[in-house]
Amino acid sequence: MFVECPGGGIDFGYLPEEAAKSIRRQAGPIRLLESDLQHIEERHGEQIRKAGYACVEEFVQSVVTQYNRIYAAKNGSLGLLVHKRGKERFAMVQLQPAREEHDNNDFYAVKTASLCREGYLLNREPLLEQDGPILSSLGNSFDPGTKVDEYRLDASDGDVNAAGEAEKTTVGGLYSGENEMLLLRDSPYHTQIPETEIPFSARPRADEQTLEDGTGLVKRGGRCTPASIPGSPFITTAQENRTMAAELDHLFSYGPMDVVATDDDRGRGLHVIHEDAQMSAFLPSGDPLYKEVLSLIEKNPHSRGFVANQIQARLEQEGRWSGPALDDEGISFGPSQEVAQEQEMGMGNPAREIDPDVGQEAAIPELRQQTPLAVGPVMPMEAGVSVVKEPEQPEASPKGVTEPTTEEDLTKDWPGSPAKDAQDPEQKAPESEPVRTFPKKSPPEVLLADPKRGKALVLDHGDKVSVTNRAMLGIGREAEDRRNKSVKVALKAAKERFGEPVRFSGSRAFEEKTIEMAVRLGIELEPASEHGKRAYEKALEAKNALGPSQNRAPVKQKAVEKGIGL
Amino acid sequence: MSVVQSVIRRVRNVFVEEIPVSGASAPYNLRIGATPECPVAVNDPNGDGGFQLAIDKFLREESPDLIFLRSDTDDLSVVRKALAYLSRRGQEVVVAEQLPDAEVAAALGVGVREYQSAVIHPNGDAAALAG
Repeated sequence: MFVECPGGGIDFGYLPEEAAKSIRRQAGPIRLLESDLQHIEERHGEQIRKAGYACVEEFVQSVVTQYNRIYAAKNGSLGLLVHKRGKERFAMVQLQPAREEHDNNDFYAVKTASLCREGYLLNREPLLEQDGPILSSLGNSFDPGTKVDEYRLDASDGDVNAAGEAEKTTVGGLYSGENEMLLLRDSPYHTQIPETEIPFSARPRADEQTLEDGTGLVKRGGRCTPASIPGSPFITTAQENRTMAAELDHLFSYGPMDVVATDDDRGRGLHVIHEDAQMSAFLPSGDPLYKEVLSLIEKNPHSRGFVANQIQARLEQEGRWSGPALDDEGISFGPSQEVAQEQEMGMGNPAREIDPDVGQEAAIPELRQQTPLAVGPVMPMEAGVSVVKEPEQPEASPKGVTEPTTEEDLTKDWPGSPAKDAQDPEQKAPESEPVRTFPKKSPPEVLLADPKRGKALVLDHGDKVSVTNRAMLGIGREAEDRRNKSVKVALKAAKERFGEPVRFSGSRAFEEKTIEMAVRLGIELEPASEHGKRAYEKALEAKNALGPSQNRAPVKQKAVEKGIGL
Repeated sequence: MSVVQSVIRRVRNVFVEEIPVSGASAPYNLRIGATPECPVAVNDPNGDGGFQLAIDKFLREESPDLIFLRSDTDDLSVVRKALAYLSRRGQEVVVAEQLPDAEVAAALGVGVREYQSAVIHPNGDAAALAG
């Protein structure tokens, strides 16, 4: 299913015919599929919005209409880079040829899009480059509306070398061997000249037809507001740079872990990224770990899980991981993030109000400024269930476990409820309550372990309580019971430590498990994600519905162990 | 030592051998280990419960973070059964490289991404989201 472009239609941009000829590729429109949007959203959505874009679609459009460099990428893909000299703004979109299902028209699908560091890819030879946007330059050169004019005027005003200073002003004569300005004709896609000159039928005009032909194929994506997206830990500029590098030069990949070799001006080495935990490590080439990791990868080409496990263990052992989620463990329950979020929201995000073109330029400095906010006891929202006692609440006033009996009671202290809102001014009064701190425990205390093997299932880190990955594995009654017990122990410990509501976040499956257990125990939750909020509300509604008593004596079941023939 | 323990030990000694993969004279339907080499080879041609005994012994004595399973042959039925057994035990991170991660994850009752996160760090972050 295609995603609708913010300006309407399904074509976000085009690879024009002249440019396509130069790089010996097929011309075509650039479109965004819903599955790819989801990928970009999950990996880079937060960063893109923090850079000032309202949503991923807007960012993608800005890149595919303004790119001025095209690179060859793996598997026939193309990398598009927006590079402006001296403005420290870079972005890239990776394209792959694809085909529409219903009419076999070719198009390029945006596979990923992200901001990237200054100088990214500059040590690689592009297939095509120029100062101004490649797409715009194919339009009317004399149209003052096209940004490329100013670049061309700069370049043609006098000495090309002088005007170019640091950057090439031409495509570089890719096939002629000369450094001549590539004079490009009007783009058929841009000016909508007669269809006969267009190499294939996917053109701007085709957008409307496609929309009419298959409304089911087009997702009319609304603007993605930051609030509608599950929160994620703050990504530092350095981490994002590594993530971008990982997309091109993967040495190794297993699940959320990537290892990327870099050989750029910033130094030769390995970047190890744990995407879900938002952790990364850089191993310079002289580092003994560099060789160790390389050797692990080379010697175990068919044991990727083992390699990933060993890399993780070695980096942890050496204390090389860095990132805001350094010590997140499983579903963790920690102090509420409400205050931190409110402060952040109160400060506002000026970049969001800035025009994307301008905002993009300011994006990276802003990221650098905001990065410190992620440091501290704040839990990454994608990972783990974190719980924190709200600092505004009196320490001695955690609610009892008694379940509310009416809907009014249930929503009494729910964020956004009239009762809660009415109390807010008092609760938010500054300096009214001392901020309670929860010192970290190192090493964490094991609250629950596997009775057979002693492996940790629930850990108390002091500032949070976590459920480990291990605790969630297994099927069958025994495994389920232990899983439930783990979540129960963690929830109770968090409630005791931090009070209610208990803030939590995690994957959907784990959120649902936590919600189910919390509702059963009568522990109030503060979901960190939209999905969590919806699921929690649903669970509370279901609890209010009439049904069999939960206090009935459990029906005795015969436990028959059939065995599995091992 | 109780009679039961004595019997178990005898049975175990019949079925369980520690043979490196390279030195294997005959193919084994199940190998277990804490590393991909899976040095513990098990055979139970008569179906006397030798596989389960071997797994229990291995877990009790080695207590590894990851449990690797493999077969010397193309017959992965025993590997699958061992995986199912370990899944029912619960809280065990199993790696069976001859099976797709999706199959192993499904056998363990989690999504692929969650499974892979558990393999990378069994005591780490459980909230592994799709990517």
